[in-house]
Amino acid sequence: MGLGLSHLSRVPARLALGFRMDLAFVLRSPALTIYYLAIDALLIPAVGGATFLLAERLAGIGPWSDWQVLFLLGYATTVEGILSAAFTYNVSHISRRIGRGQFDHLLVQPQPLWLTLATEGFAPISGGAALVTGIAIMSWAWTGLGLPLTLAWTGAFAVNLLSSVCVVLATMFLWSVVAFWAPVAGEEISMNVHDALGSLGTFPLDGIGGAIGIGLVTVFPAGLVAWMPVRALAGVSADPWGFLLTPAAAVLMFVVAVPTFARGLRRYRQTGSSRYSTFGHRR
Amino acid sequence: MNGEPAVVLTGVWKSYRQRERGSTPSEVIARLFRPRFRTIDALRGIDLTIGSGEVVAVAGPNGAGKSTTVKLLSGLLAPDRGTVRALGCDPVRDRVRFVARTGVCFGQRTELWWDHPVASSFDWKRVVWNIERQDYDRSLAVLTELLGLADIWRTPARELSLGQKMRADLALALLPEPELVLLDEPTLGLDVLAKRQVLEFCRAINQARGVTIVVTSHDLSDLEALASRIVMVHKGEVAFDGPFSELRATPGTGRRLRLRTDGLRPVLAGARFLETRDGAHEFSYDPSVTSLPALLAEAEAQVAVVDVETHRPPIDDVIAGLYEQWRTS
Repeated sequence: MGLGLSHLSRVPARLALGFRMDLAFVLRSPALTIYYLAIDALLIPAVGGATFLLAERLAGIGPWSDWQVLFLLGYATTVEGILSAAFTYNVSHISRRIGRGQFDHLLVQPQPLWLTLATEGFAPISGGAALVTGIAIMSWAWTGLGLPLTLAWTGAFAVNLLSSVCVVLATMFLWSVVAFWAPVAGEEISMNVHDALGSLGTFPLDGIGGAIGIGLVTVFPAGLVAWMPVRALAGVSADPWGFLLTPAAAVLMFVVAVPTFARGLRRYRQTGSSRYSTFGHRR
Repeated sequence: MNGEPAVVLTGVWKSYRQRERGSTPSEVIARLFRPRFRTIDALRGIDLTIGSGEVVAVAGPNGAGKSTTVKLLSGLLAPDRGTVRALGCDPVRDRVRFVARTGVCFGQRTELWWDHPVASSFDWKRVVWNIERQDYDRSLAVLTELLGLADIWRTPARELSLGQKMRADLALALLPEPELVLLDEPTLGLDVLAKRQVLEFCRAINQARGVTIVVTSHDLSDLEALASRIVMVHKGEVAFDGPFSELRATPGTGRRLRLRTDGLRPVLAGARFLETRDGAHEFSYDPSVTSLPALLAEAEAQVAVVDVETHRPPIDDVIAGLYEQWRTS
């Protein structure tokens, strides 16, 4: 079957289509969209609000200053923002499509599956509230921290941010594979995984050692959502290799997630799905 | 049939493994440790060839393997054994190339973007299917006229009625002008008018462009008007493959005789009594065994016949009779 990398040139057209459709969607009911975006902008960073308030009250948490905690919160919000702007319509929640028997809709599109998954969920305006809020919080914290705006730091920041997104996506896809075998349970598990990653991802996890500490950067990598990369980016840790840990983990998780998902897909090809939800496969 | 076959299924087997659940608490616990499975053979070595430009109806009772056949043809399922070739491709291995030339439409499974107007779904399809603008405009103009899309063009999919949604979905499937169209229960839940529109449209594109159509439905009387050939699947095997006329000639499917009399019901040795409704008595008979004049003579010898009517039984009745024969055999 091949990877169909020749289709790479079609990515810009797909993203432009996503932007066009999203813009039209937003302009159809601007008042409702503003209301929806405002709620998103408030609620998504609010997940880490308690951590920040504690940091403010205690003038930091452990080795983290309050500005560093704010940067952590902004970073985690940005990761969530990228996911909701670029992987919406049940792409990041792929277990829903699998569990509801709606994966068929992806398989009848004449393009490699990776291209569909990489572009179909692009809704930068309706899904962009958290992204804007996250960038705003990070910028504020960045000013407060007086971080350098060098090419090296910016590069490390961009690579780590994308790696964190990749880690969350890979985790969601890995847990979603369950839906190929257990459709209902898979959908529930994957949603809980997402929620847990979102809430745990905003905590400075220093001091949690042993199996739990290891688990939080491996099996359930909440520590890679923001904690690990921000330790390096915001100067909490002076370890020069700290910048590389999240990208390395992202590559590893990607390498594990792709064949695991392919295994699930092979099963889907063998058994199909006896369930189907009729209310549109992108909701 | 003309040209190269559009679809060739050779010795296709497809089985599903189903876990048997316990019905009592002790059974449930026991089966946690020793799970039991049963294998259901959806298709048992099916051979099927469909010529290019044919319209073929796939019918059969519930669980006969109709949807499995369509899913295999569309590449959504892989066969356990045997080979599936459609448009010269293996639908699973050559998925991207194959689906680019195929239109798939499942009844009540919409491809439309739910919260967007119908127009947006067509724009999406144009980009994803890489349809040239001039081809898109031409195809859309035809589809809009034949399926009456103008009225629903700006309506969000979620606000469409079932019939409107089906029309839009069908148009969406046919927008890239596919060579093969797979329709699984396209008339499911549609009212008479919507059903007729969908079927007439299928007939029109088959005649105009020679599109091969494979369609499953429970509404066999509708299919009879559309398809030139019917493939009946029963217990995973092809039980009948031929024209509808041949199916009607199957022994036991006969004709109907409706007699309005002075009130009494005649007893006819060469016919089977079915029912009395609105003062008319309906019989089923096999014209190859008993002639109509002989039956009428037999009736007139017993009662005063006021009116006579003969007709073919509805295709649904013919097929229901066959299902019953299969079930009891």
